[in-house]
Amino acid sequence: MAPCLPGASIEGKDGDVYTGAMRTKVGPIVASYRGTLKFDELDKEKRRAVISARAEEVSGQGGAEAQIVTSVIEGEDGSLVVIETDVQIRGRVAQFGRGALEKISQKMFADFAKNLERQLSGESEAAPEEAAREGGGAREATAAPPSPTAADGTAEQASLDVLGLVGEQIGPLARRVGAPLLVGLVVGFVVGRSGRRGERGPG
Amino acid sequence: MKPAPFAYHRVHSVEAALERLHELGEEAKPIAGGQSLAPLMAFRLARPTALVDISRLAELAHLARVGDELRVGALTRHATVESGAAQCGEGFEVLSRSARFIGHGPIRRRGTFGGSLAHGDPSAEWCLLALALDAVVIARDRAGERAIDAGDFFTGYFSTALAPDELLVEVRFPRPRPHSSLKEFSRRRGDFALVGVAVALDLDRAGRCEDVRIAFGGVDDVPVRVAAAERLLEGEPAEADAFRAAAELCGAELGRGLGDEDGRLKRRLMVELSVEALGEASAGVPG
Amino acid sequence: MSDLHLIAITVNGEAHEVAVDSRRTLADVLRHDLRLTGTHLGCEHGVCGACTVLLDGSPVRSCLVFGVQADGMEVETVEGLADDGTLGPLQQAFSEEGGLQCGFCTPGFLMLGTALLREHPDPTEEEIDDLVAANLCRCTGYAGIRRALLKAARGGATEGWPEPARVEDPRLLTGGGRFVDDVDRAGQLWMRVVRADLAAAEIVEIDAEAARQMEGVVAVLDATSLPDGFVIPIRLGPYEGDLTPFLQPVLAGAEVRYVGEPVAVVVAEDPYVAEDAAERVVTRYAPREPLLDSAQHGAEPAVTLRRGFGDADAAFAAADLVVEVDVRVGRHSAVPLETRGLVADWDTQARHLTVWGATKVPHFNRGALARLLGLGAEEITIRASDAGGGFGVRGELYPEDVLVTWLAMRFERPVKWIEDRSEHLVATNHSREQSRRLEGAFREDGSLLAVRDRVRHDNGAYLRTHGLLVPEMTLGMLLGPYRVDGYDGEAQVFLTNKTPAGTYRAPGRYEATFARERLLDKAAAALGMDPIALRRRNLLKARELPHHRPVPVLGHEVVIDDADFAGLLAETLKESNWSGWKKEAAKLRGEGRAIGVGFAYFLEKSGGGGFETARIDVLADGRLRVSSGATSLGQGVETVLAEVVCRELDVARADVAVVAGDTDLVEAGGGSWASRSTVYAGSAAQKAAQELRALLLEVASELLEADARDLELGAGAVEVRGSPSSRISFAELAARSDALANGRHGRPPGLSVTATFTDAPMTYPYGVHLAQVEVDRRSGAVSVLRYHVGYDVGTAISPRQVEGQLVGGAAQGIGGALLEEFTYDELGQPQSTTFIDYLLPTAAEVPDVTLTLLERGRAKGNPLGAKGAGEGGTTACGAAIAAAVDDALQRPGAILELPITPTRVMRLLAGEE
Ligand SMILES: Cc1cc2nc3c(=O)[nH]c(=O)nc-3n(C[C@H](O)[C@H](O)[C@H](O)COP(=O)(O)OP(=O)(O)OC[C@H]3O[C@@H](n4cnc5c(N)ncnc54)[C@H](O)[C@@H]3O)c2cc1C
Ligand code: FES
Ligand code: FES
Repeated sequence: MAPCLPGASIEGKDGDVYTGAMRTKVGPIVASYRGTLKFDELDKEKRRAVISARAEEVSGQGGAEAQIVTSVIEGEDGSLVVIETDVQIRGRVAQFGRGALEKISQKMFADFAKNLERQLSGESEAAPEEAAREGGGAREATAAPPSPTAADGTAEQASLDVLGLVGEQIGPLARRVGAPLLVGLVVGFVVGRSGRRGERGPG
Repeated sequence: MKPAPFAYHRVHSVEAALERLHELGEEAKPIAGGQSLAPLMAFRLARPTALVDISRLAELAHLARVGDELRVGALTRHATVESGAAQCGEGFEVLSRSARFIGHGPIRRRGTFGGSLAHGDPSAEWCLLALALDAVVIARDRAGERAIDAGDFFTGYFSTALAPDELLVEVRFPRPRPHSSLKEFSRRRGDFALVGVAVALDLDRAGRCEDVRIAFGGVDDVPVRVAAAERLLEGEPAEADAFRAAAELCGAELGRGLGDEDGRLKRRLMVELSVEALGEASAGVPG
Repeated sequence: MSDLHLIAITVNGEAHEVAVDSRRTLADVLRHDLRLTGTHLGCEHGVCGACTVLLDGSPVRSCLVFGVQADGMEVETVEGLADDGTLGPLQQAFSEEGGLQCGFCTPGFLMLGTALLREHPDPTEEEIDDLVAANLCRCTGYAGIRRALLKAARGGATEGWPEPARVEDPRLLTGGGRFVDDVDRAGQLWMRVVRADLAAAEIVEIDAEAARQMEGVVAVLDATSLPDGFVIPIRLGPYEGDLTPFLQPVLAGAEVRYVGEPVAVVVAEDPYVAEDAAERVVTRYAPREPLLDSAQHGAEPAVTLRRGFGDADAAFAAADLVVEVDVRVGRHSAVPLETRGLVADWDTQARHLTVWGATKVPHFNRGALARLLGLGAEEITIRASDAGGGFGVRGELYPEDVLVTWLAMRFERPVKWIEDRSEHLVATNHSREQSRRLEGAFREDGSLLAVRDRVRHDNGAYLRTHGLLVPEMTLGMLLGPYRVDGYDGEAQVFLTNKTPAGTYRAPGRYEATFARERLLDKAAAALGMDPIALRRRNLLKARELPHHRPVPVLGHEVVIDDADFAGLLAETLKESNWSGWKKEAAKLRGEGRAIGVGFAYFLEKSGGGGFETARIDVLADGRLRVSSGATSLGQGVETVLAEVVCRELDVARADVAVVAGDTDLVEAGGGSWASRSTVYAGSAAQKAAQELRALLLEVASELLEADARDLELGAGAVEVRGSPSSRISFAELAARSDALANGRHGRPPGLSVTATFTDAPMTYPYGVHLAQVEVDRRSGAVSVLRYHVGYDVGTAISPRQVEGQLVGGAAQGIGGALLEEFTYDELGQPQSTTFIDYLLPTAAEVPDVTLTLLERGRAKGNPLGAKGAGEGGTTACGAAIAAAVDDALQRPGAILELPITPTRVMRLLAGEE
């Protein structure tokens, strides 16, 4: 079982510890990480997972430690997926730009967690649109979805498709990649009734 | 604080630049004035494997009025716009007036218009004005040119719709906007704005607002317009009360996501700066 | 990987061909490849402008241009400005108008000015203001720079000015200064420090293999390679209990305690490669919960200091009114424009270590290094160099100093380390962070009876060389110029997971003055008294002096020897037109603007540290060389020493050369800190000059066969009074004082004297700060409209320099009051690691500071009567501006925290709506 970290690739597995690399890009700012990821807990029935990850910047002093817990609260007409991430980012990325990179990272981790949850739940629909812009539902912003010519870069697409686990189109999520950084972000969103497990590659 | 290694290529034509960018792949970057890229490289936040130096492409350093349209070449320096009110012609004074907010003299003499847009800092003056004045960005790759509306150009923090092997060659401002203004606040002279606002509007015979644009920088990871506030002003008399109502709406709309202490400051700035900017814009070109 | 290009550039009219790696900045090409070291690097990311050069006539920041981009272009640097060694009019104007102190920023401003005057020979004032605001200066407060540009523009520079205003100026104005990064030794290696990126963690493993494999890397070492006992010693007491657990290891061993802590070093052939390799060193950590705020639950102080006298409790019980304030001063620091750096060269055969760059307390550092490195002090020479501002933080013994010297010995090659700006902001001492609850017991008439003082001092992760000095001083100086019978002070010193703190200009006093003056303002409001009247009531009167206060400061109990507190206040209020400021503010408030005035009184201290040595040699050509243990940090100490010697021996200034802080030339020295240079080094120089006079007369009397009483000194010679034909020049006296000649008279060879001046008691200068500010209600931003400092210096040896110190100090104090703050995120990641985020004020944020200078309270403890003037410009800025903001908002007691940021003001205003 491997997660869907945008820009990530899994390089190996040792017991229940995955080793992998991840590359994040915000405009000209690029950070590459290499590290390990481990499922401390995984309950497919309850759709609950506890994951810990740690990574070092490949070039550049810095790194990240993360713990991600996803769980589901079943409700009347849908289920609320609660994802808690506790990420510690260090180094230049965490120190630059008065928290600008930090915000991007929050989105990225939210995306990651959502992808992960979708995978756990077998959900195959695209993520709900509000995921693209945290807290932005109520306003109209003209910063439109990216133009198709721009960066339908295969790299980003491919890097999302970790181990072929996430085959579906994730749309705008894919480009909202960035360096991870946040503390105790809690993202809740309704994904609709959980569907059957999709038939998507090895799990 | 020394940049990571890269290979350097100087080019003498746009075609050569495009060839080079294509051939060098995604990790290559054009460098124009270097006033944003070089600091990022010094921090090693950016580590392009190759730089294609376009700074000497005189063909991209134009600033010219073509009919109603103002065409700003990608390599036109900030300082050229600052002192180029005459070249810009009537109705574009806001560009020259706003240039002085960009850094300091030496930075304006080296930094370029195209570089600022391509860099896509969400509080950059040119990015805000491009959005408020409905500019069109002309991008070129080996296959040819395309036009991108400013509204579609900024895709995220420091991120734009440009492909890695594409160059921004020109920015076109479609028509004079004598009623426009840019206001901003920074804690220290020359710094990027904490919050900036650019507005543009037309006045009908009765002094009512038309075609209103209000664009903010520093409040999201891209410059953003507030359509609801623009609509609110549409057809309203260009008066303080209407401006304040629109400004308050902006603060409410954009301020929501900001939360906490800094959010309070930013909301307040959004409101106050846009009231001022709308007032100044409606009064028209000073002097 | 390197990508070499052969480029052709013309520099100052001279054509060069250089092979450069494409990533080499133009600044590095000029400085290190072409050895034109006048262009300086203050940030390397485009903010400070110290690196400004002209590229095809246009000013650019040479740190943002790659050398290869300048191919085929013309470059002009500061070295090209002087014509054959004669200063140009702009340079001349800088010297005359006090446009420079340390001179580090000066080349950048000169290049900007040159371009402006070339393009606009008659610039407007606004153009000049824009220009001055484009670059950063940390010393001058910008007023002198502005005056110099105006003067040069208006053609006012004196032609053929007889001599520059300061001894230091000619070299600093022509790119001839010698700052540490200007020192390159043949075959040198470059050190780069690998720093912790977590605030609190155990080190699990340091993997340096990849780094070691890189081409050009000589070694990567961590704590396991270092000898035992490599820790940074405390330089100054008090020593309370066992402080060893709080000392910083040179490299972190088992754990790291702040982001920026050195964990390993890379040694490489080139600074770029060293940085590449440092990135490849991977440290694995087991993170711990960091302690970031002394108020955090469960935080325990490392040390608690208690100081006091009298019966405070009784006074509180008897008081008519008890007033208390809870205040906080944010973390900020000196941030000189030149970062730190060190070059060490070990001569294996001679067994001698030479060190450049340790400017401040060279003799202490020599001793400490000798102990750590296992050398005798005589085996180490610390060479004098210029320094781009010190203000307390530079030149202390830091981990890097030990590393560089040790590595030079270990690899038997010169080793160089230059701190970069981001490192500086996490590695060099921070300062100031304190929270304080202050209670005052007052009588109805405003008399202050007693004070209770509870300080929480956040010292960051370790105690470095300053030990507990700042918390002790903040207690010792709390009462300032006021008469108080009971004091009960306690400072809890917390060690948190942030950069260690030390002294910064007016250490402990900036914080204390803020707290005390806020308390008095609040008391005045509570009693319905005028705040100035309340001060007057409590200021010590002349007949109460000397006033002894049994609390220690730098090992001496406070004795205020001579002062005219009320007189200075009256004079300052008058000269500044304070009542005019007040009226104006009230009137403008009536028109809806938020303008107010504020005032604060302070007591400073200067001197301390026991002694200083000065040596004067008569050189073969008859000129004098003065050497001193004091060091040149931009404060103009060379000029002060030259002045004293010229006065004493009646020689022209051109005939005196000063060497500051070279450990070979003077055996022992105290260094430059605590505003002591003038007091100690000046007095030592005076003593040496007097002894030299006696020696010169003695030798001359033998040679001229005249009674010494009939001889006099004049114009570099000794002559028989009334018979100018029998004279003998200093040069001749020196020539005839060889070993043989002197041996006959039982004197050591040469004409040289060394004098030590000891034990001047601390002196206590004092002053008043006045501010007029405006608060922008839209943004909460505070701008300082007017600022005035009244100060009593005892005797001003060099009034121009005293002014420069006060004005520059005020600019720093204003920065700390409004702009500068080191912030951290919740995990202890520093958020102020660039000049984009740590806001040094530009000229646009600093008003013209006006002065009232008195020479009234002549210091009794030193022959010059001097009191230092290094810090009084800074001490009361926070207090005065806070009071002014209160007044502007018409909310007494509102400002309790520094810096007064827009966010904080907004929080206050939010309640108003
Ligand atoms: C101290 C300081 C203060 C500043 N203050 C401000 C400010 O207040 N407001 C402000 O707006 N800016 C400010 N700037 C930035 C400055 O305006 C830059 O000049 C500008 O942002 C980028 O322009 P450039 O030509 O220097 O671009 P570069 O730094 O050369 O490039 C920036 C980015 O754009 C890309 N790029 C450049 N040109 C093109 C092109 N034609 N096509 C495609 N991609 C391109 C590069 O690859 C790079 O990613 C400041 C800079 C400094 C150093
Ligand atoms: S601007 Fe170049 S060194 Fe600071
Ligand atoms: S003189 Fe300007 S920084 Fe020292």
